[in-house]
Amino acid sequence: MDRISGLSDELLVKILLLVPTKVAVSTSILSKRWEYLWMWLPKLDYVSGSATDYGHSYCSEPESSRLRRFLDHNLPLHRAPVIESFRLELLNILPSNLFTCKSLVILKLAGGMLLNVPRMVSLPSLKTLKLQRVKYFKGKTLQRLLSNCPVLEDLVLDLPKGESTGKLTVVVPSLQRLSLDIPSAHDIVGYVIKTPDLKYFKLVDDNDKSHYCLIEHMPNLSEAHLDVALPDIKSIIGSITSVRRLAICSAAMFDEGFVLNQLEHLKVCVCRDHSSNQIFRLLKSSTILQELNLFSMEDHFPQFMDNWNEPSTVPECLLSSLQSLNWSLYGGEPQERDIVIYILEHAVHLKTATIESSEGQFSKFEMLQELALSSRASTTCKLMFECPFEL
Amino acid sequence: MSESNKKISLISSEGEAFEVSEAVAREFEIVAHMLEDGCSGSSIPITTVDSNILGKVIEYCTKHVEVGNVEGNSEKAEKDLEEFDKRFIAVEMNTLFSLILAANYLNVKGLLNIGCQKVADTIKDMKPEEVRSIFNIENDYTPAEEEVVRKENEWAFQP
Repeated sequence: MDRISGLSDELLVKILLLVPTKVAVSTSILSKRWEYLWMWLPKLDYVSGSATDYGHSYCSEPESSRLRRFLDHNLPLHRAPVIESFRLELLNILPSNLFTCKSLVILKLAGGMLLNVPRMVSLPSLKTLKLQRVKYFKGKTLQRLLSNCPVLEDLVLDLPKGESTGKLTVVVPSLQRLSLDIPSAHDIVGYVIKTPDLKYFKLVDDNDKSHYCLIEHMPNLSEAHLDVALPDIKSIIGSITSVRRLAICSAAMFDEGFVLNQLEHLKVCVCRDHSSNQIFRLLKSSTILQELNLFSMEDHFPQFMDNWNEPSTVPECLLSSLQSLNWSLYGGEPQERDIVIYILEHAVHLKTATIESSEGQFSKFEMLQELALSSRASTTCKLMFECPFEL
Repeated sequence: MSESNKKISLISSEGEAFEVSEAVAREFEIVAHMLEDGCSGSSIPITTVDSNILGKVIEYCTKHVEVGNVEGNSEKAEKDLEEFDKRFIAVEMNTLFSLILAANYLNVKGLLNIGCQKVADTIKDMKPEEVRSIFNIENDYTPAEEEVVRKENEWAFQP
């Protein structure tokens, strides 16, 4: 008895969702009832070849063209009312009807494919777009794509190494989250970002060659992650003044006088030689700061910092709001020690100071003793010293 | 709660009564809804499920209720439950499909999920011809029609 036929289409689609898309499509051959069942799948995952060390997969030339013919033919016929997710890895040229798919909600493209956006683009349901290492943007390709995604909320752009982009324009009024990664080995003339409703902004700009950066003010931004090699940081800081959370590593020193009067949680990367003085510029600007984290961003390493100039006036947040100090990879250098002691001596409302020591030349016990013996402005402050090795 | 000791009879399609605690009966979402809608009868007919399958579904729900009641649900308990599920669902195909149909009708989500997963795992590494034979699917394509489908979806049939 053919019991599988007793299951409803809905149940069969539920089962097909649990196998790779390729296997689901191959069930079309089973019988007439199965021919179009897979077309109801709300998630399509076109990944070919095998995973490599880089997490990419490689797709042979004939495989690529077979997949392309398949998509050209089948994508317009797809029946699911909503495609929640569409993933396609490594195909040299994209099927053009992908860009007029009305039900597409999530689109993630990865690999060295060329983004050949056709003249007709309309993605009225697209909310999430992730483009990783994709070659594109001859002229205004990307902007043509973006301006036809009226409800786009989440955008990730990781530009490929060894390629050039020219001018990059991101103008998306509906955008809530943006992550832009420009590697150092990427040629770019400059970029313009107009995303007035943005809540989260991540910018990794490792490119130290001269390029412009125009970012319009983002009044609703609450969280930012900035890792920038730009010589001019002013244009960025001016547009993120509403942030509550900020993680930052900047090659350029901040000017005095900017204000981050909503900032509550600050993480500063200590991999620059000016990090010591940068920390205090930031403390001065952040009048209601509650939490200060000194850390190293991924693939950044703590540096020997410049001599630190004790500020002439105590930053306001130390007197009124700072409750927590956390230093990971603390090496015990004199500059580092002076910063911790200064904060302990002046932060009136500090509740905890957590110092995690790295493996350095200084004795852990002496490091701990120096800090423990220093005077504290807050009598209730707990000092916690963590180290990976024995004292 | 005093309700927790209440017994409910579930009646299979053959008219056999299975007495279970209310907590177990509530694992059947369809029953839980009936109880919430004020259906207070102590026996509930499950007319589309036979005794053999109903017994199995009750066994599954009883185990899951028991483990759920243990204080401080540990990792070990979760592992045991996983083991139980694995053994429980290792049944021959006809029983598997009956369990899926029953879980779907009675709305026992956990059982439905492991049932569908079992079928998916079976299909995953098989050629279409093998899938047809193990599930007894009658091929109603003519050779010419089959060739057209195979051509249109050529990508899916290449290794």
